[in-house]
Amino acid sequence: MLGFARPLSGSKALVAAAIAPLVLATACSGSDDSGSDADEIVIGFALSQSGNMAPFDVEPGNAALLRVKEINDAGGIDGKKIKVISKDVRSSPDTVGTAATELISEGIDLLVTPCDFDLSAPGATVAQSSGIPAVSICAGDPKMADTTTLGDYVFSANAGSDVEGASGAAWAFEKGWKTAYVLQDESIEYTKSAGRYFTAKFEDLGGKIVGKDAFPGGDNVDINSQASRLKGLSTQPDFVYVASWNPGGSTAIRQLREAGVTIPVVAPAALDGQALLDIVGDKASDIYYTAFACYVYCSGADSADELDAFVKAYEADYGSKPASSYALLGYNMVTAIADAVGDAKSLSGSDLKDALEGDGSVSTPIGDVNYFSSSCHKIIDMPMTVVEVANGAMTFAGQQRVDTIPDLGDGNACAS
Amino acid sequence: MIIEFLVNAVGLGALYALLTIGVALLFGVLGLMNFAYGELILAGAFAMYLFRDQPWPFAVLMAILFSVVVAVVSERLAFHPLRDADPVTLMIASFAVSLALQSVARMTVLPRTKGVPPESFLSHRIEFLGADVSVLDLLTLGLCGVMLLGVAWLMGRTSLGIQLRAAAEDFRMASSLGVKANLVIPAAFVIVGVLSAVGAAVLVARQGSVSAEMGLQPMLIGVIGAVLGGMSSLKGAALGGFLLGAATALLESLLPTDLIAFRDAFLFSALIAVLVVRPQGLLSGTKVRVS
Repeated sequence: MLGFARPLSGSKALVAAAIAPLVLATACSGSDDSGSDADEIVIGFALSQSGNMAPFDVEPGNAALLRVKEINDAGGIDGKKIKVISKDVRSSPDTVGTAATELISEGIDLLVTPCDFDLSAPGATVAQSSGIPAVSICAGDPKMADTTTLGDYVFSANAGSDVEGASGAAWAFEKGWKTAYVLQDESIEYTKSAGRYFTAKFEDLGGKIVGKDAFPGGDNVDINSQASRLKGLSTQPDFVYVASWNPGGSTAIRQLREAGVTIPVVAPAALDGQALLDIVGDKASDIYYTAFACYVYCSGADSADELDAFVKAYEADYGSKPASSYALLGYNMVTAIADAVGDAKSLSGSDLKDALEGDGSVSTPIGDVNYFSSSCHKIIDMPMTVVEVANGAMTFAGQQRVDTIPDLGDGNACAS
Repeated sequence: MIIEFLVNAVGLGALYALLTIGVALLFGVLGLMNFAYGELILAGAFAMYLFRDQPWPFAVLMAILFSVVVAVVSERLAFHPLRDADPVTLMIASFAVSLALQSVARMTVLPRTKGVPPESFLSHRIEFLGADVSVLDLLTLGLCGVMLLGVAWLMGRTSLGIQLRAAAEDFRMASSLGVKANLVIPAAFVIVGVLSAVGAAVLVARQGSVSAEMGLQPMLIGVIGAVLGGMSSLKGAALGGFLLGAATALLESLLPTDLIAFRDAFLFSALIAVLVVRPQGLLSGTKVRVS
């Protein structure tokens, strides 16, 4: 079956190559009367509506559909309407590949894949071999962004753990904190690269890492020993960076506070959400993390009006408010795609890919976000929102941008 | 420093011992390797979340109620019809119960992780034998210790305990001597429900989070501890669990930073070494009940 499929796709490519000039010709001739019959872009959503990844896919997916509706209601992209075909991939890598194949046979122009590298990979590979751009809705692993791992048609609409770690370092340094301690969660790639890039950026800026400790992470966290080692240091560092994710990261912060460690805590975006607030409780304070936005459970954002409008529109359509700031990434992704479609010469895969790579700055409710370039297929420059957790409330503590990501020699295409 | 470490290590050991005897008890009485044990813990933990604004002792009582109800209902619906089936069938059934309960939890009340704020009295730090320890550590130690002593007393000194032990020894012989299966088996499930609820209360107080998958790790700890100590002996199982917990705490303190990620690899290598020398477990009797 596979052996049969390959030559077919090859001949398909030939046919496509033969037809392409014709399509271009019609597109050129049709450009006088903008908005004729082929004026529709079809996007396939291969996201999880069920299973363990659903909490990460459902809200960004809903937010993306909301943005699609807004764009269509406003007349589409230069008259082109966006049509979405959705398939539930049920959090299973096998289903993602099948769903991608089905969607492509239904004639989509662009594929949207789940909020995770491992789940996105099978779908992105199918899109790559069909020459159709695939955009992960919010996968944070830098491997998603490099054009050699999965291919040059693969993008991720998130900044990634490298930007998060570096932003945390830059923010803390600008606050005047010069000595840091790193508590590393060793459970997933995301936390490891967040810790690595935090360390590199903080040292680049002139800060000093006075100590490092690690814990295995996961669901069952017990950092009593690590906490007493930190507490036993002769001079306490200015703050501790907890490179972790929910819920284990929130548990680690709770246990640090219960063990009597009182120095400020800085952490990456995967701790975002109501759960952090509940786990650390009302008494904990001096906890900061770099989120994508400050809304719903967090107050005082700079661009509160735009964010409120987003939350209101979301609630009106779906009956509840978003539970984490990942939702906004889906909304912003559609804006970025729409910008690219507006600039694209045609809706062919390669033209769309070129347009995505030339996306540049995109206006979003959190300010201008710099999307893809030809070498870096993820968000390059994104204002991270620093959220402060204190006394049972989350408040906006500032926005932090980093211009560059330190090069650690690990093949990160977005580093410089 | 030493006292702090000891309180932590002994506390974790006692918690793991508690988790372990829940697994060993059902295995002894029924030959049931209960993989749904984690979901009994989940039921208790969910009660801790639901009643997080109520006084802590009340939440613990509700956790016991939730876990016991889930334990008894699962016995009635899933394991009772299979009472004469062989252990492998029972084990597969327990997998099914585990997956079903977990999926129901995820679809209804726990689609995402919920947080349980810390109890202020538990996060207090006090002076204990010259060391600075948290009330939670002491409570873990005390509560798990009391539960272990309670089980020991129940098994050794009460009529129910004698019937349970008789059933564990030879179920058919015991029932022909008048031990009622319909009393002993549900009683075993009730005890396991209470144990898992107390385990859940301690776990939630330490972790602060409740999620649909949270039962998996405690269940594995229970199974591994029971294998280490000897499946057919409750004392052995408790010892196995205790050693597992204490060794975990010890490794966390002694391993250099770069190797902490591999803590479990060290732990399980040691476990394999023990099992090579004593395949029947540390305190198992002469007879190993395989089926």
